[in-house]
Amino acid sequence: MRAVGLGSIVLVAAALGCARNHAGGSGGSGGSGRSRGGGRRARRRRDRAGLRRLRPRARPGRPLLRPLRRAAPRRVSELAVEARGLAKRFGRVVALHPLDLALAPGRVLAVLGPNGAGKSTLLRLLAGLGRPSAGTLAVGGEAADRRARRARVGLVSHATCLYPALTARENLAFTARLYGVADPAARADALLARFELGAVAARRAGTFSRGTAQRVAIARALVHDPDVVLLDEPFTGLDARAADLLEGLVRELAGRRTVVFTSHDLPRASRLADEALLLVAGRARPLEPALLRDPGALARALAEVAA
Amino acid sequence: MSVLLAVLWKDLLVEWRSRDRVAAMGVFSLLVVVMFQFAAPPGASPESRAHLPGLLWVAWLFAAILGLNRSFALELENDAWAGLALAPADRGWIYLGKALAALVLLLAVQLASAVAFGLAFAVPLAPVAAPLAGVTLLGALGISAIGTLFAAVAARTQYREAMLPLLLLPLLVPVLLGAVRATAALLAQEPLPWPPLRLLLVTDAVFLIVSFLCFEYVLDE
Amino acid sequence: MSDPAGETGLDALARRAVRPTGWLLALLLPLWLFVAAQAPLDSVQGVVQKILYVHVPCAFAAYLGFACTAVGGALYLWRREEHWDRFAASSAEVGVLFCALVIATGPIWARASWGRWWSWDLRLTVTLLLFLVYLSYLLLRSFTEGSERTARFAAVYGIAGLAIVPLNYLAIDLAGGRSIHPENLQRGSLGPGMRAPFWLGVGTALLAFAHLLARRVELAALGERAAARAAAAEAGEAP
Repeated sequence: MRAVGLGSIVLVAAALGCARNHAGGSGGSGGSGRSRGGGRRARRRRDRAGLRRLRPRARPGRPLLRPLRRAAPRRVSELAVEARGLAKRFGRVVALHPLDLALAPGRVLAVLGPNGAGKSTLLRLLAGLGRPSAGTLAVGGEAADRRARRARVGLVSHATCLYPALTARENLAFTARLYGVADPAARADALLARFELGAVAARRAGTFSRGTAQRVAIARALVHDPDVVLLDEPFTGLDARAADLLEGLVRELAGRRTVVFTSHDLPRASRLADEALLLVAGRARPLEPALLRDPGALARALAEVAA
Repeated sequence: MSVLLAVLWKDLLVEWRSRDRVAAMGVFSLLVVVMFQFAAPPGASPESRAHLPGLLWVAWLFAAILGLNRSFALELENDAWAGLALAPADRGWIYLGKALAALVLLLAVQLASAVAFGLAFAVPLAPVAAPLAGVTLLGALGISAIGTLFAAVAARTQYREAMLPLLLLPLLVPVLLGAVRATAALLAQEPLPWPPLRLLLVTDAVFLIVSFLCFEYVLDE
Repeated sequence: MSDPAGETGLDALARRAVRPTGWLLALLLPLWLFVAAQAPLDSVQGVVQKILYVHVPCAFAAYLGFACTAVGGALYLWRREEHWDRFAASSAEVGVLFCALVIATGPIWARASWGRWWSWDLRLTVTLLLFLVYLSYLLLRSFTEGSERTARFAAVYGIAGLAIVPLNYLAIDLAGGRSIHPENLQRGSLGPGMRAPFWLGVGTALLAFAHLLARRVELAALGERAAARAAAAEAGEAP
């Protein structure tokens, strides 16, 4: 009776372990992100070559139960973001109808549309926070699994993801450790310097103004040097000066990285973006590229569509 | 592995800054014990004192639930859990980091309240301190292991914190039984019995495995 | 993305299973009742012993129900196909029904036999705990927003709950759960003429479980499809 019971527990655990691997979550410590760790880099190169790795790791009371991982075929895409038939359903509600997206590296994409159109959903899918209900998605050349994609992406959403009780430096250092960045403290200091956050480095995040918190949040998103940066309504809630600073920042980012952002601030969007995607009620609508240069026409087109 | 340490350190650091979890847990467990003294005062006879280990563990159990709720409440502020979910690290390690932090805090509370308990009810703890510490560790590990997983679940339901006791209490029966049996035997100056210890070990192992594997699914959107 | 307005294999299986299991049950149930009524009276316990022909088979069904819930949940986590989530939820609902029957009939028998409504003996306590886990599972499902999140959370809880069942046996055994629970039924020392109604009862209970489960899954699937069509129609109307 007991043997049967314990055996069934182990069976269930093994089944779960298989399910996790099959579902594309690669296990072991650390993801396959671009870490600068010396010894780890060699291991990651082997990982990228798709070699099998059996990681026996017996701990007292925990049996070896991670099964062999099959090497997932890696589609290397040259595009920064490539989505085909990407869709997201929350139960019966279709948040995002199947859409295609092809974004070359270094471009800036503005995702526009009325509230509730699915812009945040799209960004969160790109970031790897949720699983697409349908379609394929490749971000930064990684298609195989969500963990690999997450290593390539930085997301700045409405909420700052900062711990209010920790200082800016501690928040950044923690994030650096979480992403497996070598020498987290140095990286945190570098980011603080880069974003001119020296004054608030030792202050608790709970005391920050919206603009400062936003800058720390962006620094946080860049900790692991992602190829693709996603910004969800970054200009909301900022005063004009802070918004101008942010615009300059985004322009700077866009040089080396791909940026996708959503905004209701059409003049800024049209200044910053190279391309635009219009989402209405979860569907992608075609948008003439020429409209992007003319904020007035853009506003009219949006109003028409939203009506 | 470094992810585990990072999360563990972060949780402990946040707790150190505000110290609200340990304070709430400590005061709560003491309050429960005091309430019990008024509700059903154990007298001097061994029979009436037989329920003391049970009382102590129930108080610790509820204090632990309180603490676990707080552990995820701090992640919900500013959507910090999304920051954890976005990391490419294996979420099992994030889970272990949080579980270990919860364990450390619970142990701290248990230590303080055990001393107070021993003094208040004239229970001699010193002679059995070492095995009692071991039993307490195993029990706290079981509670923290499964509790961290379901604290993450409960925090994101509509009931929020009220959901956690509903989810957790039926699952914690084996831990409670094993811990209380072992503690009762120790306090009665008997040698530590093997069956409850075995139960605790098996339960802890099962909880750790299941939670480690399932945390992946819990941290999704 | 699986078309929510279409029927999946599992739903089709459920739909096709409703009729046959229904007919079989209609045949088996009176047969079992007849056989149980005809069964010899227990020399010690009298007619009350016959309640066990209901109690134990329902227990089989209740445990099967929970196993199905956990397996359905695990399959959902693996495949992300919603019909597995519907299967798990339906199984929990039907299982909790049988579990309630077990807990209701146990004390009736206990009262008649020992004069006490409740005794904390091993099997009944574990079944009570299982009932509580079921209830928490259903509460969790009700109070989570978003069907995808609900499905995931419920699946995780179902799996944890299943792991608990053998642990609870170990635990309560340890607590010296008074085993005045009749062991004889498990040891095969059913008296002559009692085996037939017993195993017939088990068959009937499992068949009843299957039938109710099939109906519930079919109902859930129909509900999903109707709602999906309504949502699509609404979306189709909007430009």
